[in-house]
Amino acid sequence: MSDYIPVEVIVEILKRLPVKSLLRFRSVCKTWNTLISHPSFISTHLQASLSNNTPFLLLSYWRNGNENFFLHYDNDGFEEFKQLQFPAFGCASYSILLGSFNGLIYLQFWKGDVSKFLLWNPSIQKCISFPRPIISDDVQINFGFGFDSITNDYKLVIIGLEKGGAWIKPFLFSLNENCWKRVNAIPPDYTFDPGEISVPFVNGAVH
Amino acid sequence: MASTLKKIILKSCDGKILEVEEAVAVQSQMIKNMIEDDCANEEIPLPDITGEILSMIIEYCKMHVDGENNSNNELIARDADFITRVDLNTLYYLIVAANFLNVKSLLDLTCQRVADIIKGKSPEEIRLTFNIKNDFTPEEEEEIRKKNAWAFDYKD
Repeated sequence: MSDYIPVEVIVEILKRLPVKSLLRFRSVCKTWNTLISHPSFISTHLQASLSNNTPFLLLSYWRNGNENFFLHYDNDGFEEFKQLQFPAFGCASYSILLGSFNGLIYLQFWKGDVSKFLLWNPSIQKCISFPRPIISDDVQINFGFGFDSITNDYKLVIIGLEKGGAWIKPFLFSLNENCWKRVNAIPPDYTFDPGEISVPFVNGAVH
Repeated sequence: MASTLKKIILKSCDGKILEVEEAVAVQSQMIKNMIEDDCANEEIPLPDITGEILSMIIEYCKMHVDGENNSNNELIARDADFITRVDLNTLYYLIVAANFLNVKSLLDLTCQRVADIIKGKSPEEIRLTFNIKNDFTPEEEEEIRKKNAWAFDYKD
């Protein structure tokens, strides 16, 4: 392949490659590096992967004294596909799997008394952690994690009920802005099952 | 209304003239648009596509038109047979032509084939394959490699 290859053709080829190959090919040349790390390519690649790949089930369980994460086939055989390499972020006492969307895994983990959130992308073996906002122990809370397709942003929302039954102003974390905000909205008046668990995210909305 | 037996005349960059049935030619979205716009009554010059590549593309399109009633598995098997006969250099010209003519299924097939061939390669092998000049300084290259060191473990 000697002549000039149009960029749109390069994109057509690259979007069909596994993430691991792409990370390696970032060091081919400056053009490829820029192309592969560009948000629009990442989005194109994600859509291509989502439409082609078989769905997997994500499992976390303890093996040899450590918490490990595995992908299993979603079929009757339920065989293990692969173990995910958990990022090293110091020794967490334990973690809770809160959800997964677009290949990202979202966890809450404890190290001693300190609790943090962790957004983990196993495909590129990177993760970021961010602090939990300060909320009184008297407030019962639930989490919701999802993707905002309008702003291309991953968000985490915390809703909470005070002991008296009044809603607190929800907390919203934006990955793009990397900070917590308070939202001026009150959740609908439904019965609420607190327990610091995550609620499902389907079709662009927290349920 | 054009009859289905109407022939479309294509001319390659090296002067080869090919007569193609309309049903085969419209596998190319570009030619389909030209027919709809009534611009395909005379020969269509294809300045960047050689006769050899054009013949291969027509063979592929014909295979898909003839195989319309075949099962999906049969078509996949035929596609696989077609594409494994093509070397990397020819594959490149096929991709550029399929992109230009907008034959989506052929573009998918050829790009997937290249992806399968190159996915296990090193950056050095990629530069050789695509004739790309390394424009990083050694320090910049080292920095990028360090960030993704685990991806250089070629086990899987």
